[in-house]
Amino acid sequence: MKSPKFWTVVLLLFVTALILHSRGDKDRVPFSQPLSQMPETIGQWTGQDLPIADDVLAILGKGDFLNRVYTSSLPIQIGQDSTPVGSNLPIGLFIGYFPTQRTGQSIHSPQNCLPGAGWTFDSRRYITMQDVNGKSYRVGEYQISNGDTRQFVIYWYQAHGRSIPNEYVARAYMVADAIRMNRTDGALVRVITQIAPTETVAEARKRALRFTALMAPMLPRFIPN
Amino acid sequence: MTGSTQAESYPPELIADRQGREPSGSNAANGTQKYGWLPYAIIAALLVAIYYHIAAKLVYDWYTIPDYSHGFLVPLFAGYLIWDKRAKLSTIPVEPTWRGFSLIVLGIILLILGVYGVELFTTRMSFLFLMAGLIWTFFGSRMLRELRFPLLVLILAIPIPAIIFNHITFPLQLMASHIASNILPMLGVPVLQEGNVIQLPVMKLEVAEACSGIRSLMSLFALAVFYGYFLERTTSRRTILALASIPIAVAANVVRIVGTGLCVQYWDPDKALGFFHEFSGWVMFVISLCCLYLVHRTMQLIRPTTGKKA
Repeated sequence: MKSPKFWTVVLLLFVTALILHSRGDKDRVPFSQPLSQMPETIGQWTGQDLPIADDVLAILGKGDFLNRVYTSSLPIQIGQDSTPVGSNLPIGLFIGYFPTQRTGQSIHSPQNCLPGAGWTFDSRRYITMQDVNGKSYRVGEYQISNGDTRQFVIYWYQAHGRSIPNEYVARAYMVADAIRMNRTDGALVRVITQIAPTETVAEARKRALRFTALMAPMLPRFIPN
Repeated sequence: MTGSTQAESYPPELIADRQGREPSGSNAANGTQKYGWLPYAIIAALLVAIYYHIAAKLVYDWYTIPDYSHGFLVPLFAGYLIWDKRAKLSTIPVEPTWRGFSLIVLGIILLILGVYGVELFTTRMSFLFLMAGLIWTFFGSRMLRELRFPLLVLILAIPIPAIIFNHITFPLQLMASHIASNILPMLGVPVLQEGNVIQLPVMKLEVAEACSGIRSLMSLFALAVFYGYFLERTTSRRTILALASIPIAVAANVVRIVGTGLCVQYWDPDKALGFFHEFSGWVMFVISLCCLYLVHRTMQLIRPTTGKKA
């Protein structure tokens, strides 16, 4: 009982208990609009919601999800160099927003889900793209294939006004933001479009990037900064 | 197991007269012994105050995540390990040292960062560092060395972050799906495999969900550690058994998928689904245990156990 080691330990533990109890176990969850209010028209594209099955929702966890297919109203789009660009192939938009990740659930990585559904990643790289307002986003762009079907995918993690393509970096920022701001909200944004057999990858990429550039400025309403 | 002639009936680190043997303690054993438990009670109370929420959430996870239900067994196993060693532990001289504080402080830093950063794994791991630090501080490095296995075993009870765990188990899951979809056609069941989703003639079989790997791997690993501890005597052989849990997990999943495929084809799709889900529970467990036993038998055939204990 007289041991200074003992009293030092008691003091350390006591201070730790105080520090921990001074922090509640609730996140700050800023207000955000439900994703269902995402505009149905983005540029030349008009969206249509795809239902998400209940068992899928159960796996995704507690969050707000948008699964929509945007189809171009223009039958054939003429590019600047007056060649027909990427026809009117639809663009899939998936957003999963999690108001809190405190309970230990984390955002599912497409790096697992896509191969799980039979897709192979053919190429991957991180790029910096700009939306129509000139704001920069760090995103990952991927080419995936399943048999003869090829898709072009852009996805990134969006949280507190920051876009991050890498899941580990995104996770590290989540921890840092939880410490700094007591917030653990975050989202995955995924844009996906088919690469038609008749078109080049560059055309599909252009279509996906154009859509993303138009859509990205709308995100802060749903994924608060 | 170990000689019980000098054994005490409770774990030695809780024995009150330890305090009396400390250099600073007096030899008036009666007075110290009477309240010898008090310092431990104070530290225990503080630990409860700190870890109450964290432990509750952990137990909740064991209860709700089927793949971590072995978490309930792990502390019992660790407790048994200590109890089993009690004779040896009681002979180790108590050497309190300030050096133990390095681990205590590390544990506390991890704990605070973990709680503030909402990182469950870090938070839970901090308990192990803290415990190791406390043992080191009050009983010395020899005691810590002697207790390292029971402490390490506790890691098995802590769910690994999904972001890391998936990267280990996901390729294994894909492998299992792939092997199963190669076996099924040989048995007359045509299949179409896309990742983890296997399309059978009459129904779609989602091998777990498209987004998850072999989640039972952790249970199997824990099982193999327990098994190895009780039935093997050397660390290397125990390690082999523990590592064997990985191919066993894949094999059990293959059996699960093939079995379900056969049920669908030759019996009844509804019952097949029941089988498929039942399989994620106790059937999987039994199959894995059998596999583990086979691996163990093979090991003994290749190189029989010598009587020596490491």
